[in-house]
Amino acid sequence: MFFGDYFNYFLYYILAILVILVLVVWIIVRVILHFVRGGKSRNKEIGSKNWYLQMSLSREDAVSQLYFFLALGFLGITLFTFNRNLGQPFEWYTILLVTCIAGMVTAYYFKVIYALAFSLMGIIVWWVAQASNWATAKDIQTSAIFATVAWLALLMVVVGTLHEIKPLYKRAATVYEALGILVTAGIFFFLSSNMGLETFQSFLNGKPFYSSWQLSISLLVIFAILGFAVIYAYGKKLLHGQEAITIALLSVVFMVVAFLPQLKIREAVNYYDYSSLSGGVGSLTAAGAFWAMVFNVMTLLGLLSVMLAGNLRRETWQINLGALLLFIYVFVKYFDWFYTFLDKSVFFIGAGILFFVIGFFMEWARKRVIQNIVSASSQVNV
Amino acid sequence: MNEEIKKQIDAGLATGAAKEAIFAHLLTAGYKVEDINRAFAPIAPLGPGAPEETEQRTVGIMVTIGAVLIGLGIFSFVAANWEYLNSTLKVVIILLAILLVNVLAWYLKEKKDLPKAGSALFILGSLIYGAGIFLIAQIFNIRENWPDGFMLWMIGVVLMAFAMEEFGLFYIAGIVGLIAIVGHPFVIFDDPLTLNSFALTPSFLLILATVVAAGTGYLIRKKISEEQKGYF
Repeated sequence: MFFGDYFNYFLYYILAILVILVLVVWIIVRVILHFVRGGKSRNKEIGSKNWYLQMSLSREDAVSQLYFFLALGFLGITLFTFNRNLGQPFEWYTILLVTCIAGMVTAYYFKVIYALAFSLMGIIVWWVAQASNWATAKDIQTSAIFATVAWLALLMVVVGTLHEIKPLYKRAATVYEALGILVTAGIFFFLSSNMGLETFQSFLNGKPFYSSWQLSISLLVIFAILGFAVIYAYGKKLLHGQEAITIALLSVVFMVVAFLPQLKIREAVNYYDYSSLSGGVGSLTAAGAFWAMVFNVMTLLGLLSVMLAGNLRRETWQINLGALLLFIYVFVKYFDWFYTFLDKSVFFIGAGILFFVIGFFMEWARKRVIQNIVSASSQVNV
Repeated sequence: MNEEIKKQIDAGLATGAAKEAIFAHLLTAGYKVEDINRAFAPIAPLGPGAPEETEQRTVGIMVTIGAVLIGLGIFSFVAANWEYLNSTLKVVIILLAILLVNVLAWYLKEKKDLPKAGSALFILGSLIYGAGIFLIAQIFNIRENWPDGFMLWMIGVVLMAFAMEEFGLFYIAGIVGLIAIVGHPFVIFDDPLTLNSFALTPSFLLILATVVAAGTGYLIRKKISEEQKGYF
């Protein structure tokens, strides 16, 4: 059972460690930067052009947000402890949901960005755990859960753009958009890799999702909300045409994934065939090759659209994020595809040349796009 | 509001008054520090990076390092002789160290107008307080989960930060609180497959930590300007 008790247990641990690690590293970096810059912070003034890229607008704001975040953490631990002392009447993910709802209320009422980011990620974790519980109870394909996570991530991007109706809410909008982009990119990265394809095959084992009424209704509701949000945002001109089409396309790909029957993605490995250079991995079947191609094309398309959207919206952070993810994608693909069957020296020389060329073109393209943005905004100012 | 402050600053400068005197005058007139700083920002000598500020920062860093080194020296001396001391003496040493350092910090800050040295000693006092919690737990073999010590530490430092209006202590308490949050899952959920209904962590401590953290967030938020509060 893939999503068993141990999985839930480790998921909780990994999540807790990751969140805290990121926070601790972030605090250390902030403290170092604070000293390096002599107490000054770039774009700290709320009137400045990129004010929304700051996680806090003053030291009071930073400390206040940190303590609200701590309060949420302690609230979660208090609820977990009470639950355990009472003999665990609730599942751990139900308590996570309650904490995240409290986090969302705090985030919107007190304008706490840290709580918003934590709660959004927590809600996704809650959904995965809750849906896997429904799926394992009836031996249902977990591919549908994967699809809903991708839809939720895309929904986060759209909700982020909807927040841009209020200029004062731009920081929250950026959090939604950045998290949505990262989660979507992460899913596609994973599925386009060798390991991801093998996991994809195991996700397709079992009965179709419509054998569970809970999953069917959830899928329908999430997809409907996503569709409505895209149409509404496009109607309000908060979403460009290209962005709406990309989101629709990615959503449809995951809808197909949710309806896929059981598939064989890889042939069984012949361990006696020593001439094989597959590195212990069976070759792709026709269906496997098709889906590998789909996921890779979608990943590339998604990342390019992030950069394109950044250009359309005049958002430098989005262009930089897209460029960084594209760079990581090429890096991962190179290792994924060539490491096992190229001579190591050729592999590293090839990697060096590849990175240099990509880096050169990315810097050149990024510079041109940002120059366009600067010249366009200076024309507007004139 | 800003225009009014700027006019008063210009008027003060025209009479040849020192910037510090104008600052003090504006404070007594009831303006917020943040608004005064903003109005002063275009005037270079008081702005960030000015020679006085760099000097102040250097002094701050030096006295903080000094305080930490003194603390480490005392700790190592006490640790070397720890096993020869009886429980009462150990507790007296801990309590005296906390009391003396904090009183000295208060004296330097409030009575001698040496805020940097005072702040550095408050930081040292908060570190001794935290170490004291764990030492007392060790002396009396108190059966508790270790993150509880960090929660008590956070609560104490937060109270001290409010009492002494030491903003730096909020950062220390925040980091200590984060350690408590990281540690708790490991001790409370260390065995997922058996139901151990008895948790060593007292519920009131968890509730208190939640209330203190939320209250601190709320009270500090009240200090943010109305304009800034609207930004999300």
